[in-house]
Amino acid sequence: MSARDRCVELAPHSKSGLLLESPVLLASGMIGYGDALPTDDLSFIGAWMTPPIGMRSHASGRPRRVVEIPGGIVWEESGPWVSFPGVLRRYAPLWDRLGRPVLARLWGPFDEQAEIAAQMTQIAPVAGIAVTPDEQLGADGAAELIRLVRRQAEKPLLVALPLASDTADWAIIAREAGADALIVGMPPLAQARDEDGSPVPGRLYGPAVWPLTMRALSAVSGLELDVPLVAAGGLHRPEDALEAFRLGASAVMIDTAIWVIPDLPERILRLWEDERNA
Amino acid sequence: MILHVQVEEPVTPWTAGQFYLVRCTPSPDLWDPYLPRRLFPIGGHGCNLSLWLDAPEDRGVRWLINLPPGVAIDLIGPRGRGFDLANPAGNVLVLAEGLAIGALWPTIRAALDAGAQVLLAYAAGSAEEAILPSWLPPSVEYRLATTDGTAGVQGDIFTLLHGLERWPDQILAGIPPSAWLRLAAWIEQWRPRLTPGMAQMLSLTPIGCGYGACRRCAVERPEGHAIRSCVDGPVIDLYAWRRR
Repeated sequence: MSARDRCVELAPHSKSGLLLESPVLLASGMIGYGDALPTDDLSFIGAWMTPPIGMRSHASGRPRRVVEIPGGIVWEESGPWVSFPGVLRRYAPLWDRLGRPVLARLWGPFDEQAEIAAQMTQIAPVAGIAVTPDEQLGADGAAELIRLVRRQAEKPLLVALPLASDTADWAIIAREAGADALIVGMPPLAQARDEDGSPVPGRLYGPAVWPLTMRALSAVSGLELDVPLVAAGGLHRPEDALEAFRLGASAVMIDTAIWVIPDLPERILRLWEDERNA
Repeated sequence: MILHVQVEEPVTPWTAGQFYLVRCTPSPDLWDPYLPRRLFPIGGHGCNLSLWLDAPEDRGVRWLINLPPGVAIDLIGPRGRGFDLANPAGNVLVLAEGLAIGALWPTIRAALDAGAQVLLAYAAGSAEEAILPSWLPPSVEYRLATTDGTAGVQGDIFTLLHGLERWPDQILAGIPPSAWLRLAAWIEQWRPRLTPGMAQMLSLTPIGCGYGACRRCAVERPEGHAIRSCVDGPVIDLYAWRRR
């Protein structure tokens, strides 16, 4: 398959567009700020998403708790590890060298997210802005955030939706508020106990999430919103990606699976190629 | 416990303190346990490698222990930053607590091979957990402390440092991060200042992804920022860790 055949446009309604060389993306934080690579070969990756970026760092010093459960992990949410100025100073120079488009994930108060989105215009490797509204905001709160960031962001705006019973409602609201692409969806909220017995609230990662993603993707895809969809959450097998494409996803986003199967992006593309040639 | 493995290609040279990642599932498409395990090499040459199983109660390690001979496993490494022995080696003080001794074992060997005088100060919970002097090369001086006093002297690792104030040229340690500042203070009681490379700490905090992304293995620095054991370590220079 030629590089051109792999290309996918994730923001057809945006001025700048978001043309990626592969429909396989990496989810937020999976390669850190670009400094934590499970594989040296990123050529199969269309784009990768940063950990949350906020004006201030919230958790730079302490470990981030990870609880292993059967078939997955609960990963504590900790907010930005490095402040926005720190990210620009320490990591942005690295992004050029990685050679893959960056999706900058925003974090923090709405006005700060909007301000960061505006400043990201100047950062060349950043090809898109990602907003991940917390479930607790509710769809209306999320819409307010999306509109605010939309006004400031010159680059394409991707919005991650919760994997919930009302994902389709969120999708409609996010589209109306200005999302150029929808990520379906965010890893579900979860809680597990660590070795000391302390509860660890976080998000669930692992193959068990994939059926939730499929359910939500079906619902959102059925709306025919005229916006590209990215299937995310729990993808662990190349066959999962094909299923997502069949259900209407334009791209897939791998999360923690990249840690345990570093060649998964390549395997997805190979299978996709076989499927198209069949 | 030690796991002996045969690898397909000759082992990439490794440094004491570096580690391997091992997936502990019978097939790449099975996901329990989910995360890879970190194993420290302790010996081997050519296509043979010996790995130290420092967490025998862990589910993944138990799976490895119960594997019949000849089963293929998915091994990645060596990874991370190992110990950097001074040249000339001089007097090397090795500090170890509990099962950290396994990961430090090749360090002792390397120091002896480099012509160092080696003193091992080892702290365990009780006599049952202590290593026997006969396990060590004869040229290694051995000091033992146990929490309950059933072997050696009663106390912690610092109990063993009495009289060693001016002896070590280099300290290589496998002690918890909670003891690192105390060690730095002990060094600076007798030396003008802590210098780069003088004291190197092996971090045994649990790892997650093994690539630096998840930050489970982060070790907090006194000034607030963190060092990731899996990529910035697991051997962390005490000078750099404490520097403001």
